[in-house]
Amino acid sequence: MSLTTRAIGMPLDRADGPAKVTGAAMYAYEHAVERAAYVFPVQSTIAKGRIVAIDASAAKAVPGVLSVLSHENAPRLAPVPPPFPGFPPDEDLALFQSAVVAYDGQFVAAVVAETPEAARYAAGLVVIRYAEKPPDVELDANRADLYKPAKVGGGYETDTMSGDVEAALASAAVALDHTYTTPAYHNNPLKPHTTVAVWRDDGVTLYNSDQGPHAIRDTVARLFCLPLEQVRVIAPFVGGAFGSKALPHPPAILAVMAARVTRRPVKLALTREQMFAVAGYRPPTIQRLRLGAGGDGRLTAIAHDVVEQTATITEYAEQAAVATRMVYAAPNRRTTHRLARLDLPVPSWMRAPGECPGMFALESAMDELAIAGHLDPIELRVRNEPAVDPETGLPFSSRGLVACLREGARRFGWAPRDPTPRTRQDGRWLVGDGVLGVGDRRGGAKAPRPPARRIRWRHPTRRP
Amino acid sequence: MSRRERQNLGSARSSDPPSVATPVPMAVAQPRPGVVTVTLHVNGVDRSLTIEPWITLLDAFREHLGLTGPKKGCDRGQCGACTVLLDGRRVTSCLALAVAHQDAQITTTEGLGTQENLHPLQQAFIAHDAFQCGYCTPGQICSAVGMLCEAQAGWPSAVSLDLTANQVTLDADEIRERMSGNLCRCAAYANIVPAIQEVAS
Amino acid sequence: MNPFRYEPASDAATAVALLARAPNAAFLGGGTSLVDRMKIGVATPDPLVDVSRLPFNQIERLPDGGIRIGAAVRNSDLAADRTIRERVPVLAQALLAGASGQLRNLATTGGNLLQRTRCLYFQDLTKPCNKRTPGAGCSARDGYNRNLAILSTSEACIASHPSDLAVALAALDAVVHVQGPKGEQTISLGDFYRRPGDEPWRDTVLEHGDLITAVEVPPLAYATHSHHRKVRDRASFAFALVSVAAALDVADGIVRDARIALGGVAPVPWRASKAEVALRGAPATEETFARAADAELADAQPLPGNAFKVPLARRVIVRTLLDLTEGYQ
Repeated sequence: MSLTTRAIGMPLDRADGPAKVTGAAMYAYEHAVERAAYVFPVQSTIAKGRIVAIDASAAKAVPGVLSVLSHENAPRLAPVPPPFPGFPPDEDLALFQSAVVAYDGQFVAAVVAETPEAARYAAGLVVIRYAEKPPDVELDANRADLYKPAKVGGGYETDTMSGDVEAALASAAVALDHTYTTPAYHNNPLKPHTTVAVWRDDGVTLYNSDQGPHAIRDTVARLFCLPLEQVRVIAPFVGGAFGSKALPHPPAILAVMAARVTRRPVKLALTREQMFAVAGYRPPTIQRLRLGAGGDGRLTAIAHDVVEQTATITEYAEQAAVATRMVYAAPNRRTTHRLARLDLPVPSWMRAPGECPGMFALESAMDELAIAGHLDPIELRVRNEPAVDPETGLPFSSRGLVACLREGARRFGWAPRDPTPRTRQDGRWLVGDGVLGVGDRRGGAKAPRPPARRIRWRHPTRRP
Repeated sequence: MSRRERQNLGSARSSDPPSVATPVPMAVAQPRPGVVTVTLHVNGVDRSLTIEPWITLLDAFREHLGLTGPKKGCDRGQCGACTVLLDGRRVTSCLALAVAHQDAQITTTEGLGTQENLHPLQQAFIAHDAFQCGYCTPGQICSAVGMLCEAQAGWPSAVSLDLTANQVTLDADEIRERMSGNLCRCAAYANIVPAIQEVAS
Repeated sequence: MNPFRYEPASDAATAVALLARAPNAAFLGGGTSLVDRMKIGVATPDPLVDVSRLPFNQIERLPDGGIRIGAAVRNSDLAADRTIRERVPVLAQALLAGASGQLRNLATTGGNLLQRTRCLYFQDLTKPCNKRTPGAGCSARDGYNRNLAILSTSEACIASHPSDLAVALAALDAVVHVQGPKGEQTISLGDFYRRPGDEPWRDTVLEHGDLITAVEVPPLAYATHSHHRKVRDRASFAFALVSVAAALDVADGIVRDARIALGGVAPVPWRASKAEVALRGAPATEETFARAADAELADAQPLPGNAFKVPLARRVIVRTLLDLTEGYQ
């Protein structure tokens, strides 16, 4: 039977193209509702402490203000549910349920008004007195209070260990010990988070800037004690997300609460500045990478120790070292993750899975090892290609890294060259080379079934 | 003080610098305190608004005129998603107060073309897949229209090799520099540049 | 934004009078700086007196060879002006290096000079800032100061001035024409801006009600041999870490005269007078240029976050002067 190809591999125009280029595509905030009110949050100016007093008198005097919400008058919410089974609940969604302040920028109050300008202006007039405590915000790999989370992102084991890494490193012909750091990554899609919340007798409808409506629907239903079928989420054109609109965040809960309290449809749009505090971000990492190899470049030891930050109210652990567990063969191995609870905003999903910062550290270390061992970086990787999964001993169902490396080398015109930094120039640019392989293992994210061993590999990338 | 009184003020100074003597259209202050009536010509249609002075053009479009083509990405003039054409020039509408632009001719992305009748740049953006989420796209297209006019008028840019040249050659470097006021977080830049280049040539 | 009244002005005298009788009033030009600051609550004027349509939108060539630029001339028009491009390239280059195409179409000459520092703490009402609130303290000294000043700072303030146009005008000895409640006056650009000292909240010597009507660029015989170079964290649409506006007069391999101003390194557009003195009469060589840069930067007081600006400024000064020297060969 022959197959007529109509779509796969064909250069099709995007179906939503005409709508997007003419400005006709509707994003969440743009849905018109009758008698809309607008909510603007008040954010804490301390990182740690308690709200002692709220003076909303000046705010309430602004013409058009309908309500000032805070922990003093907010409706009681049910306990925060997990967004998906097996995930920890994000206590940041317990909006206005206590006077405790957990990070600078946390929503501590909000103004609902007839116009967005009145709401924002009045929000600036709310005066909050705090009992402030000295915040702890420095991420440092030498902190005494680093702790081991029960699991890391994706449900993976926090630590893995095999063989004797220290002995192997000590006796290696070539060894390196490097610490890499990555900064916080903020998703910052071009469209900030927005929600339009409309309550009716039969429940609430959200037009939400959302990567998928189920988590927010489930969360809103549980928080506001509604049957699932009474929460309707419409997630039209998203305006970008990069992970920040996949899990529920406080802004959507605020819109729903404000609409409930004022009995008006409420529109909320985060400002760009607010995106840094309440939309999640990839936490910074401090990663110690130690590699030991023989003179032939074959690894005898890999040690990858990751230190990251999490918030005090919600735990988030990026699975940075997980990919290291199956990329290269070595008989002596160790990967660990440790967290510091800091008085900072809650980290959350940021595009590229959590393995991403770890792959940067590992691949950088491999390139450094290639220099130290006078080996071509591609040859080094080929020599350390594992025949089976190095930790489980299971065969790979498929694995094409070496093929990718060879093909990439061919296409890039890769040839052995002087690896000494700053020796090659192309016009005004200094030119260097590197190799970056990227991998992640897709385990079964939803329990309970045996995880699938499907490995996806991407092309090696030439670093300019 | 009434508008007429204000216009009668002013001293005659013989040493005034030469000036352009065009009549200045001005928004009319209303008796109700705070609001001003302003008329804008948007996409060929006269639109009259009675609004507070602190409403920006961007919010006037999106909240008062039912035009959600211009987008709010930062509200600080830094992302370009709100770009429209104001009297033929591209501007960030989030920093322009509506009341300060009485009688302005404004074109938003909706005015450049419709789904049935696309502007060449809109068509090129589709053909080159120059967008993903689409949120920066209306601003990119309006900005590109304005930019092409500027290049046509011979305006140099920061990367122009010859500051005094009469004509501009819009190569990729020039397009990137001239479009640097429009951010795209989906990183469709690699396709935006050829889309603009196609129309420029 | 705070609620405010909007008053369009039809002539300068009216505009000045409107401001003089309202102590909290401010002039509105293109809005790219003021409206931005109003959105974050850093500026709260009332009323706003719109001067953008006053008849100050001409660029005139003066009989003595100077150029008079109306305060309402848009940045983009000024940068595109043929006389500017041909006679004073440093000015056009400085403008084109600033902001974005959209912002340049809105921003006015006068407004550009009056834009305020981009220090993060100045722009954050929740952080103490002496420039906003006298006596509140300076959050930048021990905070993020990568983009802030290394010259002429004070204990009270280390803000850097963000304007590129003003740096070029400083090198050109521009003169600011002002009309105010006390009448008309001219102020040289070097006197226009204030060092922070003990009163960092006052950026300029202007008094309330003073309206910039024009900026005059005096004739400079070698202005065609001028150049602006800007170094920043991005290739475009970012403020300067260090910038140099320079004009060089070289004959027979000797520097006859020089004008140099620096951006990104001081609370004011920085006229590098010490460097100019070191250059005059010296051979137009890299060694001279380096010595001149060192003379200018000798008093730099960098902080750990911006110490890189000292060697960077040195290199950018040398590079710019070398490029200008090549123009004579």
